Amino acid sequence: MLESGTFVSMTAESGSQHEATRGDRNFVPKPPDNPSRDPAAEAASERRRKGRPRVLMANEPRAYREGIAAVISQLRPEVEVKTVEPNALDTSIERFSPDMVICSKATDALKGGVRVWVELYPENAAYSVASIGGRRMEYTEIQLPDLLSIVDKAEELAGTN
Amino acid sequence: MGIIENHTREYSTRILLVEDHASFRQALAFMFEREREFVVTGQAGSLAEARAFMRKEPDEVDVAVVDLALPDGDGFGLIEELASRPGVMTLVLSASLEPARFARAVEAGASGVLHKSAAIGEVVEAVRRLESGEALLSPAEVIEMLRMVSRKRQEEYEAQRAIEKLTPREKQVLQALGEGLDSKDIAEKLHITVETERTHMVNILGKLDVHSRLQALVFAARHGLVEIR
Repeated sequence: MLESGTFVSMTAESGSQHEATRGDRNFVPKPPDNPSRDPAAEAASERRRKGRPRVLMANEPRAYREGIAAVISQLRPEVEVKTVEPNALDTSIERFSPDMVICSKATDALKGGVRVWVELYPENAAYSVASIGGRRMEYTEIQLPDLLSIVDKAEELAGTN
Repeated sequence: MGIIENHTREYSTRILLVEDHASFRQALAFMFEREREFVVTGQAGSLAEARAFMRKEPDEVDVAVVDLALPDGDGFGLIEELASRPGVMTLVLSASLEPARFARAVEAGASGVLHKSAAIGEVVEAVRRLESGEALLSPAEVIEMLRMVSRKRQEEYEAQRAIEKLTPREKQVLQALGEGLDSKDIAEKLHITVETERTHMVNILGKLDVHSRLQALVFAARHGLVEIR
């Protein structure tokens, strides 16, 4: 199980060819059968060679944080995912320099220091807000594929640095 | 419609997820699906969607994981409906910090309650334990929860009785109090003397069985008698 405050180790069984179509509200990611033949996995491998992007998760409640972290870790194995308590958000940004943050309340340190972030269900609301390279987006009902897509954008932006 | 009909593996525990935060619901589905003994047969983002699924696939659920705060109401009625179906168990997974809501869920028929601050592994494990016939709550815990519901219900009954004793004028005084007015301002607003306002307040305190204006205001706000803006 995920340990709070530790990076989630990646496994070779991950990949993205079994993802459901984006926009499917009942998206259930499936474990891949053969990631070695997967173009997406090859692209991920290429990204790995350039350095692994980091996603920091500091959202509440814990079940959300850990569940979503597990999905990102499995479906985006090239990404390092770190989970921390929300009150450790600012110090974790300083220490780990994430390329993307998912939190429940965006702080000034986050807005000023991270290019891609998602304020997921602030105060347990239904909506979420994302900022992708300075572009603000609002989601009335954010889906898991939306979050994965934002992770991909963060990877792209990290690769252009 | 937020319903998914999934493949059913032989001997799998069939799970219905009722949760309006879609990204978490989908992540939770992922967590269950990666365990061999579970299959997520349905996902619903509202009570209406959950009921539609149960109508369409009445035999496709062994365990329902239900959030209490859904866009179209709380989950208590749904829990009762699920509890009336043989072989279906409900695990409540809620962000609520009110023990009384958990207690009410147990009274409605929930087999277990978990707060969303639990580790994701605890959620999966709780369903596993339920399916294996293990009780998530001890008899003492269930009894305490039922007592809590009973106490809460009695308090609510007594509060309603007290509210019924208030005159329309006394309710106006309470509403003015909720607007932040002091004794003099309330008197002016209602075109009465300060002495009359004080008489009303003494009567209000007596009827509500409280000892100060502040307590009266808290009582009134808690029971929807005044709207605090």
